[in-house]
Amino acid sequence: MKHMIKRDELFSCKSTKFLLLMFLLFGICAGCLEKGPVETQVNTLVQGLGDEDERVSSVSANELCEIGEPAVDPLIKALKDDNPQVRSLAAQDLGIIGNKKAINSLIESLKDPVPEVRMNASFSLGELQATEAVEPLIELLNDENEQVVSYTITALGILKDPRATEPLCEVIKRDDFSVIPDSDSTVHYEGSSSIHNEAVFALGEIGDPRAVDTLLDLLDDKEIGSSAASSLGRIKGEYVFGKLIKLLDSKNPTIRTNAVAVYEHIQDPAAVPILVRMLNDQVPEVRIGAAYALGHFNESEEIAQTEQPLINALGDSKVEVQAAAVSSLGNIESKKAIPLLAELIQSKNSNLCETAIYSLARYKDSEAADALIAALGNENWHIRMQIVYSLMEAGNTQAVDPLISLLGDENYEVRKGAATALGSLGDRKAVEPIIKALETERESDVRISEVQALGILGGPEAIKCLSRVSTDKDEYGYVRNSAEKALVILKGGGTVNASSFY
Amino acid sequence: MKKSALISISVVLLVLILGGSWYYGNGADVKIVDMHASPFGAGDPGKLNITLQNNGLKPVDVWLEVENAFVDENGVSYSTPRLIISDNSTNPWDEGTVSLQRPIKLVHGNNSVSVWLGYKIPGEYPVKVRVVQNGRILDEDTYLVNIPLPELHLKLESELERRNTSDVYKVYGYLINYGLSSADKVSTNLTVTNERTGKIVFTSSEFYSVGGQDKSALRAWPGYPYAIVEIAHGKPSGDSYKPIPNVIVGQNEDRFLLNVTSRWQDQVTSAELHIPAQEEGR
Repeated sequence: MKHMIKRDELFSCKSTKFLLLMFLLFGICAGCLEKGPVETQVNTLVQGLGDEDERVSSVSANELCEIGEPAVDPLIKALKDDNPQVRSLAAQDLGIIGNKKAINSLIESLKDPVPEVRMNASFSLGELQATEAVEPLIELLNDENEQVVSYTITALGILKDPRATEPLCEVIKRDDFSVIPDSDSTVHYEGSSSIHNEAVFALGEIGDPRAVDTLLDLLDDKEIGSSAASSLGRIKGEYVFGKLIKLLDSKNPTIRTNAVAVYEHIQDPAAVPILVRMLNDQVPEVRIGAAYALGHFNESEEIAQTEQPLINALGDSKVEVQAAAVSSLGNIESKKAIPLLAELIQSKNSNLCETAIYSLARYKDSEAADALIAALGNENWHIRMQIVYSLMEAGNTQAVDPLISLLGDENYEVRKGAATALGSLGDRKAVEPIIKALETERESDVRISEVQALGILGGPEAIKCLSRVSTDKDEYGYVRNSAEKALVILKGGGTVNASSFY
Repeated sequence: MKKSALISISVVLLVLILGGSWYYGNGADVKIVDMHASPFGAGDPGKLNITLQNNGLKPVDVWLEVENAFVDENGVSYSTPRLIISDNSTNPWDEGTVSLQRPIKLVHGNNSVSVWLGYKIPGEYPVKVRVVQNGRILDEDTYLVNIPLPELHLKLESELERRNTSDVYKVYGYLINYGLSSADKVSTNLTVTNERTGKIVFTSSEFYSVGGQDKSALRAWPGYPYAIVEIAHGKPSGDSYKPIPNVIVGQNEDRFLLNVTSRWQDQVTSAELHIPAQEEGR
């Protein structure tokens, strides 16, 4: 009886009724306040950023980027999440989405205790072109984590703000970055040189002349001297040009090599006589650099100065210098050099031979094409194949007949190249020979190229042959599929191209 | 029990029943009306096309849960929420296209949804599909997918090349699969018998793989035949024919029978070739 009374008191109690009512209201509200699909999806994906399965977190991050704007606020909120992985990926996504609303929160995240978060926040601030973040980013150059420093340098390079010039020059002078020894115990400056390299690159991006002296001082550095040359090339200016001339007389060959590289990047016509002079340098690396650099000067007055010295360089004692000269002669399309380059295709040095082929292919002159076609009889199949592809890339229609005869080459790679090239050149004269070749061709790779070429060339005979191949049960699956794909396009009145098959 | 207590209990129960039925009875009227998968083989991606009918007037968001959508060579079935991908994805085996399950918006009437399927070995797989909304199953159904066996065949052919005093036969072989499913590690043996002496003069064994409705050349190296048979009418050429691994050299009167047999699980197929052919003469 006492027990019953207690229960009665319980159920008659006002506060219990109130609680039950609240419970009911909660149930109703839960039904009413169902979130919109996008919002629900974003929240699920933000949660997914913290998933232990890397595929899930990475897919979540990608999906949030695809959603874009509606994900910005939840991602800003996620920068304060307890899970560092969520904060890190949120910081990364905010940079990719590119809404400037995130800038202040990302600046705050630069002080996050977890390096990955600081790293992604700094990079994203660069992506967001957040000039207001320059000062906090400069402070972050002193971060204890090298990856954070590395990403910050990249961000500052993207921002191109001259305020970062001097701090970046200071980074280059620092030697407190890690030195990673490689397996054979010789010191390998991977850690420090990577950060220095990035700082050098960022200085080139910023293009502030105040960085010139620091960069010039680096031209003697075997690790990052060439990067410094590249950055100097982007800064340009009279000051750089003048300083370089003195460096060309340096006793240090690394400085001379890198100084030549700066001239290559600057591409000032005034550098032509200087580079021609450097073709006679005693160190091969300097001559190589000069020979390559001269290939960038294509104006007729410049060619008049460079052509003969480059031809002379074909007689250099070092094959690498000869190859550089061959490449540059191709770039400037020196008519005088054509027979010399044709001769070099027969060279026993494969580097020289390949460079000669690619150089001749760059000419718009039919004499160069003739020289390449004449070399198709080379006994080395690799050379024949390279010539085939070079002729194809050059779009040389003179090559159709010689390529048709290569459909019967003894080497299947050459036959495959010939079929591909014939499709690419687009002359329907090749249809019949390709159909004939398909009758006896055994190699699947060659058959694929032949079928694809027929698809590209089109016409009634090609369609008939493709129909036969597409229904042949004994055919290679991929060959049959290629024929089917081509037929679908051709019968629909479309045009088949190389990408139709992928 | 006091009357007031009974009234309180009744009111509370009524309110709970009404609230609960209002909340939980609010599920959408969605039915699976059709499921169909075109035939495909083991190792290939397949698609289960599902027709979902939304009988409500308003669009609804639902999730699909699919059991046995992917089963690996060890019979392990993968959980589907991460494997269901949209119709415009390309390759379900590519990790990059595997996405989290997204809600599917169903408009009034019939809606088509495709789900990727994939099985590494032939067999029958019951694919169970559940349509879920807010943790509630709206409908479920099962579709039996049949993954057929490969159908293996062998083909041998030869090409004669006369070199000085020798007849050099280049033998080409192909493992052809007319079935939809691929066959991995097909054990293939070559036996060469000298028909003049009745003795086996050469044997070799190799594994090959062939895709569904595809063929594989029996060879060690691209661009080279499966075997070489040299019949020397004078001094043998002495050529090693590298990198061709199957080389048989005979004399003037020799005739060879090449037998190739392939085995994959319970399937056995073979092909024979006489060299020189009966009608062939020098």
